[in-house]
Amino acid sequence: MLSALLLILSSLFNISAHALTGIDIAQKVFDRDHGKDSYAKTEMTLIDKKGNTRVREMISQRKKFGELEKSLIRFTSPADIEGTGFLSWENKDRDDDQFLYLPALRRVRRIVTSQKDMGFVNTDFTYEDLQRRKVENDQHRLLGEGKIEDWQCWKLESIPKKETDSQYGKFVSWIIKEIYFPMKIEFYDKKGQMVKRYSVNKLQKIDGIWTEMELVMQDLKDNHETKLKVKETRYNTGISEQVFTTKYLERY
Amino acid sequence: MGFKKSIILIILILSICNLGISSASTSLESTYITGFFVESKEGLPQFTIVADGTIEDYRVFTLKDPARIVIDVFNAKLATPTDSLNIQSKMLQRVRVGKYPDKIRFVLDSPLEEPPSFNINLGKNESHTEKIVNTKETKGLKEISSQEPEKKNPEKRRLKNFVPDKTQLRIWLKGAADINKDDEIESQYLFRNRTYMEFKWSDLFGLNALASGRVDYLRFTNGHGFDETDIEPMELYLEYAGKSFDLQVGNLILRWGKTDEISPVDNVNPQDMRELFSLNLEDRKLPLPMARARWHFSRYTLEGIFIPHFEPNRFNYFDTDWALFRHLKGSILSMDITPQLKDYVKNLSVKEDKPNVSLKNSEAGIRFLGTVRNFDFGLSAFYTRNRNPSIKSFPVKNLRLTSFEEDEFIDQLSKLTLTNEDIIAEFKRQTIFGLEFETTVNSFGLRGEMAYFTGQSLITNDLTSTEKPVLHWVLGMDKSFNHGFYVNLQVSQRIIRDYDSSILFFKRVDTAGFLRLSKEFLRGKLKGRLDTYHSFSDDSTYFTPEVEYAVNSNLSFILGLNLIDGRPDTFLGQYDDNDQVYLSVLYQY
Repeated sequence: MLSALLLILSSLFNISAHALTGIDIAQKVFDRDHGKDSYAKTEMTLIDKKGNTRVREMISQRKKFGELEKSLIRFTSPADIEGTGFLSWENKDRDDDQFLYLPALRRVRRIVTSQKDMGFVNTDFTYEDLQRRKVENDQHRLLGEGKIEDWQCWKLESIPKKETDSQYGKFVSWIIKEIYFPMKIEFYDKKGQMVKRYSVNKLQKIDGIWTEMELVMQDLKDNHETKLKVKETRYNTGISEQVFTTKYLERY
Repeated sequence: MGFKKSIILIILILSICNLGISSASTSLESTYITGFFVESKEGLPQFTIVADGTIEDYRVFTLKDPARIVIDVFNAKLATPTDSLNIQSKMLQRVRVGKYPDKIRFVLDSPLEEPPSFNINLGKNESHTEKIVNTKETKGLKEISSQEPEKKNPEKRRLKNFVPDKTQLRIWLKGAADINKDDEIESQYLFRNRTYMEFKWSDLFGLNALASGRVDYLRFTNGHGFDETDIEPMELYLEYAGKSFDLQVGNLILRWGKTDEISPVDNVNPQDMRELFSLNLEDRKLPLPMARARWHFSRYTLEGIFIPHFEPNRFNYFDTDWALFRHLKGSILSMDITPQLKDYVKNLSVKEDKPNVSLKNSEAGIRFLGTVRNFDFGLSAFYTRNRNPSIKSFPVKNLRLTSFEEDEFIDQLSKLTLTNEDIIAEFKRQTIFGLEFETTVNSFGLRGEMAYFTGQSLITNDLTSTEKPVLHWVLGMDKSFNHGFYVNLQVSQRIIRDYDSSILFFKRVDTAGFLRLSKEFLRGKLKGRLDTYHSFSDDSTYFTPEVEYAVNSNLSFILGLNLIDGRPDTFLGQYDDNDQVYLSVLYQY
C-alpha cells in the first residue's frame, strides 16, 4: 500500500543495538532501507464495533527525491471512493504540500496539512499518521526491551516536541532489534490515555526490504479498526517522477 | 512437441532512462521458447517470454540510435512461428526475434531517444522468495512458496487491448415534490432518472480512452407537465499523455477555476439548467466536443482548448418551475382573456438562432497555471459565446415588467401591442478573462476567482436581452475540523458595468455569501449538509439542508429540501414558489 502509509508509520520508530540511546534507535528506524521507490496494491478493511466491514482497494506509490519523499495513494475500489487520490510532497522548510483529487469534483484541491488529527477517508489513520515523522520532532527514550512473538524488541517512548503540533501526547513502540522494524505502536493522547494501537501482523522481506504485509490500526475509543493487507508490492522499479504530480493525480 | 510446464521471463518497461545488464549462469539442456507477448500492466508495457523450462542463462542490455533493449536467451530454441510483434505503445513499438546457434535474441525497439528502463522478473519469482514472519498465524520464520507462472495467450493479450480496464454503472433516481401548492399551473412533482455507463482504457494502443453515455429522463407533473428523455454520449475521448505534453480530443467536461460552488471562471462547458441551481454544478455540466492540449513545465502548465461547435445551456423557455420565462404563458392563459388572445399566447414559440459550425464560429481558450511554494494560481482567457440566450425580439410590445407575476401582466394588458414576430434567441459573442488562486494558511484553505465577461446576456423588463460587461469575483475559505465537521464560506460580488435600470432581477452590484456546513457521522456512512446562499443586495436566500445515508459502497440515499425566499423581482425570488422536498437514490457499481 501502503508503502506510503506503512513506511511512514515505520519511520516513526527507529532503534539500534548495544548502548543505543532512544534517539539512536529512532534514527536507525528512520534510516532503515525502504527503497528508492515503492509500489503496493493493498486491501483495506474498515471494521466497526459491530463487526460490519467495508473493503477498499488502493494503490500507493512512493519515491525519494533526495532527502525528501513524495507519495501518492489512489483508491481503486469500491465505486463510492474509486479514483480518489491523495498526493503528498515533503518540504524541508515548511509544511508538506498535500492534494486531494475527488473524481466528482473533477479537480485537484490543495488541502490543509495542519489538520493532522483528521481521519484519512474515514479510516483509523489520521493525516498525521500518513506523514513521515522526523526523528528530531520527538524526544525519544528507551524504556527497555521486550519480546513480540519470537522477536527481541526495543521498547521506545517518543514524546512529540511542543513546536511539532502533534495530536498525540506520546508514542510507545516495539522495534525489532535485528532489523529496526516497528512491530507495534501505541498512540497516547495528551492526557496520557492510549487512543490507538498499531500492530504488524505479517512481515515479509520483499526485494531485500522488510515490508509490513498485514497490519491493523485500532481506534480504542471508537472500537473501530482499519486492517491493511498488501497484495502486491515492488521496490526500486524506477517509478517515474511524473506519477507524483498534480496532473497525474487528476488523471484517472 | 510436448512441453512440461511454462516458465516466463518478464521484462517490465518502466520509464525513460538507461539500466544495466542482467545475466545468469549457463545451462546444459536447451529450453524451448513457446511464446512471447506484450501486455500493458499499470499502464506500462510488459514483455513476457514463455518457455518450457528454466530460463537461467540470459543477458539483457540496451543500445542507442535507435533505442532498443536486447534480450539474449542462451541455450534456447524457438518453438513458435512468430518472429515479430508490432506494438502501439509510447515506449515500445516492435519486438523482433533472431535465431542464433547458441541463443534466441529478442530486440525490443523503442520510439524514444533513450532506451526505457526496465525491470526483470522470472516466473518462478525467485527474487521474491524471502522469509516472512506472521505474528498471528505462525511463530518464527517461514519460507514463502514460489508462485506458478500464469499461462498467457498472446492472441488474447492483443484482444485485451479492446477490453476496458474500468467499467462503471451509475443509476440515479430523484423524486421531488413542492412543499406548497401555490397555484394550478406550477409543476407539483418532478421525477428524474439518469442511468450512466462509463468505460475506460488505460492503454488503447498507447492512448488513454474514455467512453461514457447516459439516458436522462426528466418529468414534470401537474400544471403544464411534460417529460423529456435524452439518450446521449457523455465524455468520449482519446488522450495522449506524454511526459510534458498531453492532448485530449473528443467530448470533454473540463473544470476551470479553483473555488467551490460559486465559480465564475468555470465557463467552458454548457450546463443543464432545467433544474437550475437545485442541481449541483458537477451534475449540471454537459460535455462538449473539443481538443485540449497541455504543456507541463516543472510547476507551470499551459493549456489550450479549441471548440469547433457551439452548444448552449440546456433549459426550458416556458412552462416549468425553472424555465426561463417560467409559467408566463400558463399565467396568461389562466386569465379571463379573449379566445384570440389565448390562441396568440398558446402559439408563442422561440426560434433559436444558433451559430453554424464554422471556424468563424468556433471557440478557443488559453489557461496558464503555476505554483509558487504553496500558492497555486491561474490566468485564463476564453473566446466564447453566451451559453444563455440573448432574446433579440419578443412579440409582445410595450411590456414593462419587474417580475413574471401575472398581476403585473394584467395591469399592463391594455397597453400591450401584439405582433406576429417570433421570440428570437441568439447566442452572442463574449470573451471571459479569468484569474484564480488556491493556497493554505494555517488550518484554512483559501481560494479565489475573478472573471470579467465582456458581454453577458441579461434579461430586461420588455423581455428582450441586453449585453453588459460583468465583473464577478469570489473569495472563499474552508476548514475541516476533527470528527468530520466541515465549513466552507464564500463571498461573491457581481458588478454590472454600464448598468441599465431596465435589467430584471439583478442590481448593479450584487453581493452574496455562500455557506456550506457539513458533518459526517458513523465514519462517513451518514452525512448532514446545509448549503446556504444569501444575496445581501436584494435579501433573497436559498437553503438546501440534506442528509445522505450510504447503505453500502454501492447504494446511498439523499433526503433534502430546497427552500427559496425572496421578492418576485429578484433572481432567487422568482423561484420562491419552488420550495420542494426531494429524495434521491444513487446506485453505482
